Amino acid sequence: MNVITIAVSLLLLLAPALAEAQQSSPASGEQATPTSSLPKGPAFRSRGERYQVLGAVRAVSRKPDESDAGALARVSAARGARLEGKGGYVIYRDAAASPTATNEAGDGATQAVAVNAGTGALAVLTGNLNVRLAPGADPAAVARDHNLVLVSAAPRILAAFFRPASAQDLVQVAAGLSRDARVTSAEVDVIEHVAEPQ
Amino acid sequence: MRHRLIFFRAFALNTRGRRRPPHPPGKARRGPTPAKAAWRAIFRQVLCAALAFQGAGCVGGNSSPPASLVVSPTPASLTINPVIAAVMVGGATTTFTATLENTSETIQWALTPAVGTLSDTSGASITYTPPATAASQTSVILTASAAGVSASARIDVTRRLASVTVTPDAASVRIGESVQLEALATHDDSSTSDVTLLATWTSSDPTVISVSPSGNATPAGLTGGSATITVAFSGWSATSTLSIVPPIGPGVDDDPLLPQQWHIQNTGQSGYAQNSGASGEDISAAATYLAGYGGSGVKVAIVDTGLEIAHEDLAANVAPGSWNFLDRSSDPTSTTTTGDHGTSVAGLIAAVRNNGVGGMGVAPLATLNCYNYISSNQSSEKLVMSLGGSPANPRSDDVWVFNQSYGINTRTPIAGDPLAEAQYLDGVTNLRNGLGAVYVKAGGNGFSSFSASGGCTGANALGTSCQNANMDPYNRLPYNIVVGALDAKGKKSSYSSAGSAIWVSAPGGEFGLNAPLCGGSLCAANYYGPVAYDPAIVTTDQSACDKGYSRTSDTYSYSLFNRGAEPDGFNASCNYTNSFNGTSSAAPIATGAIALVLEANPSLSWRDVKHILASTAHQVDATIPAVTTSLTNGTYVAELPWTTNSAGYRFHNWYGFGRVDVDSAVAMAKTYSANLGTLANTGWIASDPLSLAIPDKDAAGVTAKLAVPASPNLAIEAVQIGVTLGGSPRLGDYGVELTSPSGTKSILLNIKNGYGSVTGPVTLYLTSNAFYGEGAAGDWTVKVVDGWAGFTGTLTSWKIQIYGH
Repeated sequence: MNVITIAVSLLLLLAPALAEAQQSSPASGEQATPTSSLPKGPAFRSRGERYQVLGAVRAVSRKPDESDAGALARVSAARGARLEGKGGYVIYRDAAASPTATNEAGDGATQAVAVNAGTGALAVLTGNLNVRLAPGADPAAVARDHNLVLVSAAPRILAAFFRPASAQDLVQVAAGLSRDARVTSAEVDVIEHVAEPQ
Repeated sequence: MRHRLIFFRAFALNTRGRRRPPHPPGKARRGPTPAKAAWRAIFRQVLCAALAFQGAGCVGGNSSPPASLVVSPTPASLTINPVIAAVMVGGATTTFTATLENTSETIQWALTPAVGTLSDTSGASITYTPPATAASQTSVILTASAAGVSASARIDVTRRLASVTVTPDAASVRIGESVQLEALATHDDSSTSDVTLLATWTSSDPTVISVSPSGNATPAGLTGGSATITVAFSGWSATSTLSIVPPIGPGVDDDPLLPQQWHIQNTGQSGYAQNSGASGEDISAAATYLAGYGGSGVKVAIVDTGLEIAHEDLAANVAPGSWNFLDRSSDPTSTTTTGDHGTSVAGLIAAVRNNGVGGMGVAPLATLNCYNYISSNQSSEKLVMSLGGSPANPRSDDVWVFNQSYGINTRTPIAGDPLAEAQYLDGVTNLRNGLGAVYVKAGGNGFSSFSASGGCTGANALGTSCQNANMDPYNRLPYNIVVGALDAKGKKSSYSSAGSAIWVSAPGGEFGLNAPLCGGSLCAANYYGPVAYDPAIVTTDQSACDKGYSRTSDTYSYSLFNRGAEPDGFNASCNYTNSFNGTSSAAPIATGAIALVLEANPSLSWRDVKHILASTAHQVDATIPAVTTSLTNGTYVAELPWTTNSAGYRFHNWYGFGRVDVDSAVAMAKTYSANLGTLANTGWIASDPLSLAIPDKDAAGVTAKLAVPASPNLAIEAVQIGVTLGGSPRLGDYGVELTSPSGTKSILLNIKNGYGSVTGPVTLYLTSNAFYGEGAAGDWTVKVVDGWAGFTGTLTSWKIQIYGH
């Protein structure tokens, strides 16, 4: 259903001058959330992009049919703290959040947020580690040795997906995995670009 | 009269007493040698003297007889009847009769080899008695001869017949097709003979199924039914029971909304919208449905927001294997109340047929799975698991066709997830027992606007697509069949993103609204444009009137049907919607079409399917003109009209190869013979570093060439390029063209596109299908044009990669 298109059409019809300005100006990426003043944490690469973990920003996953406000309330964040939605996540300001790549567990779980160093767009760390294994490597053994939970594996493409068994810094865990001879590559999974119904 | 016959025989024999062989047709007859001519003269004089004795004379020569006495020799002839006979070992005798004309000599008979016995060796008629036993089947030549001429008959001596069977003894046959029956005779020594052409075939009801003398059975009417075909041979008989595969679809099925599903059969209906479509602008599936194809045996997965697996018009086609990533269950039913995209997508593929409710899917006999990746917190893991990488929870590795009615709306160039791309490659390589799963994907809804921030005024004013199908990184993969959307009049839907990555088009509709509910012009003026009242697509919706796109309480819905208030009462339950649209609709309609093709020929590979779609697509909007604009240095063609490449394929960025034509595709599938071989690619072939300033707002642009080696000269299946720009380019300014060694031009990115601005260097990855079937070898030329004033950039390098065989 083309609901989003409809909404954008309405917006453009109501404000053609604004639209012209957007087209004509050297506008930057997909979001306007200012991040330059936010504390920065570790940098990492994922899907060919370079990211840096942000402090003072977190994300919360919406439950089915939960509103953004409901999700924010669940983690005791103010409605006005919302920065943007990212798929099933709501990214919000949390002044107390340190710039660590650590995700929480439980009903009030929040996720770390990073910024794309190239585009300035925000990305949510899903908590997964995307790993390409060397041929013959046993993903269960890799999980055990790195204190990880094996989420799933796709053996034909030598891929395995892990989560830390406890709250750990994802960037550090990925770095540790990358040093394992059984691992071809290990990346922190992020969601920056969301697939949307067309 | 007797002497005349004798004379004839004399003429018919050459001087050595042998019969002269017939003169070869078309070959000049040589004249006689001088010696022969002398002998002929003597002979002629003797002959003329004899004729003169009877009062006649000769023609020609020095003593020509009167013309009334010209000799017309009548040849002797011998015929035998029958000329072929089949007899059984130990079986009945067969009588042969020889007829000798123009002479009265006694006819002599001979048998070669001497298998069996003759009643006599001379006389006009004899009888042949087969041997009582025989080691093997044989043929005997019976020769009759008299007066120097002979004739022969063949006697096939077969073993004693023990039975006759027909294969198959029961079968289904489709309208428009036929089944070849074969009759097999089994002998007392267990040997067999194919007697299909010797046997007699009859149908119990030729008005239902007729059978030819050679055993070819064909439905005679346009409805279902069955008939018994009987084959008879030498006193034995056997039967085959044939049933006609029942036709499905329009005119046959009891689905109340089917008459409004214009994408299946467009009769000019409205689909409950204010306006009507144009008759005939559909997927051309009439013959396919008449033949009873419905996608049987094909498992389709929708990677989407959800699937109401208990829906009245879907449940019977939902197969085990779905997965809900939100609650990790096998039930992906959405809990949303404002419409579940996946449930509507699913109905377009495989809504149940002939069940008295709703409409019909394009492939109503296919089975469905859903993985709700879109409504989940998307991750690499979930995408890989949804695209065939999982044997359980979800079960995605047994899927034949994946429907992806989603896309990424981005204003910056992005790359795809390498793990997802690896999974696509794995899916086309390993799924379906190595034939490859077929991946179908929506092209995008951003022709006029798209959801990411940024404007489209430049593209809108120019009349080109703001969002290019190439902007979604997964649309650029050769593994995806990217689908554009068409309206009910056979032209591009207003929103359908264009681009050279489009493969085919399918109905997607417009908005399906009713003007009275809009207060007159409200919808057209403010919300949707002039297409607000044109038909959208009728499909399934979440059940009940308090959720879904159809809700009785939704006063903001401008569709009477969606309010459950259509006078015909067919949506009183609010289980259906008439306002579904988008390339989200076009993709599942193409997916359903592919399911029909795969039912017709399950041995097709994923590339065969692409080839068939490209080869059979119907050209729509054939006279659409080029889009041009005035830039410095002249007029610039910002979008090409339909082009025909050197391999004969027509292509347009709005439509790909054209609209899916089901009947043509299924027909080609049934007799498919192309051999695409192994998919190969050239690898990236890159230019040296360049420093070509792209002139601002200038039609001349900059060009650069790359040579693709002559060997191997791949037949192109897809072309990818990477164009790297330096400086601080505003990507939305740039158009990118590619010209093949054969001279075919494709625009891979339009000027004034929806990209924003970036700081270089940035590489634009783009795919074109316009060169399909051409040879890859030779010089390729890229051209980059800056179509908007300000923010100049530089072409710093480019590269090309070609997939083909």
